[in-house]
Amino acid sequence: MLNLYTHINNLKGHDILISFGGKLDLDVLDNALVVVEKKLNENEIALKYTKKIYNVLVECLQNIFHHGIKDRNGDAECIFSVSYFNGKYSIFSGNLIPKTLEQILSKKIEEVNKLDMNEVVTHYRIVLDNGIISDKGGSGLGFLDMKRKTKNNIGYKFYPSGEETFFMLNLTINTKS
Amino acid sequence: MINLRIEPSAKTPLISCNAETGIILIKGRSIPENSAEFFQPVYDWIDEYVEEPKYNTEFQVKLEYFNTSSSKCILNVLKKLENLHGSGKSSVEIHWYFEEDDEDMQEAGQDFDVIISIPFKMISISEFERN
Repeated sequence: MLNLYTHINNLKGHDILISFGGKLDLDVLDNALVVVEKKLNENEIALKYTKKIYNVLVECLQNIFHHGIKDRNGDAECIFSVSYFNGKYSIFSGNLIPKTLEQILSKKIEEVNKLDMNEVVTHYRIVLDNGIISDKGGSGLGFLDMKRKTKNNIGYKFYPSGEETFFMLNLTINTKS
Repeated sequence: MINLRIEPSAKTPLISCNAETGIILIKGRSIPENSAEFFQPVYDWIDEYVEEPKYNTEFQVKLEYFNTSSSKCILNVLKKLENLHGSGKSSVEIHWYFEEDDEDMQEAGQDFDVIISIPFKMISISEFERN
């Protein structure tokens, strides 16, 4: 399974705004958002990028919170980071999922990655208008929203770990066009 | 009827629903883990308001951030107001505010405008007041 040490090593050269490895509970989630917002403000990037990065991070962390495998206390093991390199912000988030979800997620992401930006908007509106909020709080819009906000394809990888899989998402936001 | 006011928090917006003025305001950030639960009092208030609405109703949206589950809830609010508008009991207008640099919030307003058949004003401002 991917661990935080290996992940940070993979980010060599990046300016890391935040990195975390451990159990995600509401306190961690809330504090992470405060820290990232403060660092983005310090970096003095355009407001639209601050908002994009913040929004995408919210979706990633709330996905882990709602869908990640939880321990007996209801917390999900995860790693996440926000980093900057060469005009691009990278958001990584990873958590354990049941192995059975691997194909389903991979299919969903590939379907979104195949769409051009106009098709993303069209699909987003259809799902927004017709979908319902699931018992877990999901709206079915998450991946579409990630592609729409980042204007980039969604990167992902699965790291098998016994009966479970560590599911890693990688979103990139260009601040130089 | 009783007005509804929910004070803002780090993850939930200010909600102000005023039966005397017909103004419904949502302002701040809406990123709760459980959006449906947060918005339930708003749905309940509107369900009561539509029984005896003002001649004009205005829904003011001044959001900095909202998560995808909140977008479903905002749409539910808009659909209730669309029904009210369609009933002829109140003329409803949506005022969607966005910061001029914030293309995502502007596009979000356009999404709702496409889905909902109520007069929709997109209002660009330089910056929201932040507490």
